[in-house]
Amino acid sequence: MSAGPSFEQARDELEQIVRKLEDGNTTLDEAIGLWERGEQLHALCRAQLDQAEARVAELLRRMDDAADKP
Amino acid sequence: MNAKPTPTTYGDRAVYTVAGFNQGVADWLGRLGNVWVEGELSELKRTDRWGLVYFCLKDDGAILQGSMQRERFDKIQPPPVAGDRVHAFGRGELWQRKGEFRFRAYAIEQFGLGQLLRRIEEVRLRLAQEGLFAAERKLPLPFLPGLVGLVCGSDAAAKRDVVETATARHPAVRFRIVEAAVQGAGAAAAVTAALRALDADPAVDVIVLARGGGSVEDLLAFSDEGLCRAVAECRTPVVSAIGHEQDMPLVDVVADVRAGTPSLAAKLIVPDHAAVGAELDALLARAGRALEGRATHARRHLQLLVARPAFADPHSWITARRARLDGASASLRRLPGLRLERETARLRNAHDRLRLLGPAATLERGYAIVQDDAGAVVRDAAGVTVGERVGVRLATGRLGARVEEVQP
Repeated sequence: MSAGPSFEQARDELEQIVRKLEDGNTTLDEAIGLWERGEQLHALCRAQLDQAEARVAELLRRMDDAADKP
Repeated sequence: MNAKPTPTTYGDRAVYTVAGFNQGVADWLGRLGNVWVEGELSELKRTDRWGLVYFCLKDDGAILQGSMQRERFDKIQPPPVAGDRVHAFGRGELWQRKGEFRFRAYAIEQFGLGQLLRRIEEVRLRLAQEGLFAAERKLPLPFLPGLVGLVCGSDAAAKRDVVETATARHPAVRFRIVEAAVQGAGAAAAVTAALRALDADPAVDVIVLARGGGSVEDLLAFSDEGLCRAVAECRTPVVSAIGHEQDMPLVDVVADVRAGTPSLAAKLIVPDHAAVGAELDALLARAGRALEGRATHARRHLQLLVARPAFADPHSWITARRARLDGASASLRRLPGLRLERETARLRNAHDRLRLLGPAATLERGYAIVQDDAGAVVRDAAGVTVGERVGVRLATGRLGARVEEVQP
C-alpha cells in the first residue's frame, strides 16, 4: 500500500471519476470500469483516514497521560 | 379792483382823500408779485372766531406783521408755533381802513429743521463716501486710561455726569477737562480746538465729548463737518456722549465709540473697580480649583497605574502567557480532528455520488454483470461461445467463469 497513491491523489482521482460519470458521456463499459476503480479508490482513502484517526487518538491519549503526571 | 382814485384840484395842487391815497397804494402793492420771506414766527394769534390768523415775522432788527387765512393756516403740518424759523410765501398788502401795512401769507413752511437735517444728511453722505465711518477706523478703548480728556460746556451737567459716574466706578480716575462753547455760533470751532489740544497731549488716553440734551439746532455743532473730520483724525480714541440716547449727531457716527449719554460714556471709559476686583477674585478661585483638580486627577491616575495587574501581581505576565499557550495547545489538539472530519465528509460525499451513479444498488438486489475477456459487457447469449471465459461481477467481488451452454 505504501507504493500506492497518496490520500490526496486517491481522493482527487475519485472525485474526477464521479464528475466523469455525472457528465454521462461515457459508454456503459467505460462506466462500469470507472465505477469499479472508484470503489477501489474509496476503499483506499477510507483505510488511510481510519489509520490517521487512530494515530491522532493515540497521540492525544499519550499527551493527556503526560499532562496527568506532573 | 376799484377805479383809480382821482384827486381834487386846488389851484395847482392835486389832493387825494385818505381813502383814495390808501386805495392807490393798495392797488400799487397789489400789482407786485408774490415772494418768499424768511423770519422767525412770533406773536401768533389764532382763534376760531377770526377768519384770519395774525402773526409777526422777525429778523435781526426788523419786524413784519402778517396774516393768513385760518383754514389755510390750519392745514400746515406740523402746526407752526411761535419761535419757528419759517419761509412765508405772499405779498405786501395795505389794510385800507386803518392804513396798516401787512404781509398776506399764502403758504408757510418751517425752514429751520428740514433744511438743517438735509444739510446734516449731505455731510453724512460725504463723510460716509470717504470711509470716515468705517469700522476698521475705530480705535479700541484702553482698559484703564491713565488720563481722561473731557470736552464739555462750562459748568455743564454733562461734565458732572461724566466725572461723578467715572469716579464712583473707579476712584483713581484722573481728568483733563477743557471747557468749550457747545452751542451756538463758534461752538464747532471751539470744540474742535479743545479736541485737538487733548489729542496733542500724550498723557491723554481717551477723549470724551460730552454735552447734555437739546434741540437739533442746539446739537448742530456736533454734526459740523470740520469737527467730524477732526474726530476722525484723532490718534486718541474718542467717545461721543451727546444729548440723549435718541439723539444722533454725526459726531456719534464718526467717534470710535458712541455713548448715548454722558453717564454711559463714563461707564465705557473706566472699568468698575468693585466689579473688576470681584472678577479677579473669581479668576483666582477658578485657578486654585483648577490646580487642585489637576493634582487630584494626577493622584488618581497614579493609583490606577499601581493597581494594574502588572504591579499588583508580578506573576501576572507569566499567568497571561501561560493562558495563551494553553489556548494555542487546545487549538492544536482540535485541528487534526477537524481536518479528519472534513476529509471524511468530502470522501463520503464523493462515494455517495459514486454509488448513486454506479450499479451497486442493482447488484445488491441479486443482479450480476457478465463481461467477456476484453471487459465488454455481455448483453446477448449469442455473443459468447461454449468454453469461452467470462467475468461475473456481483454486489461484492467477482467470479471468473467458463461458458458451458449457450441458449440464444
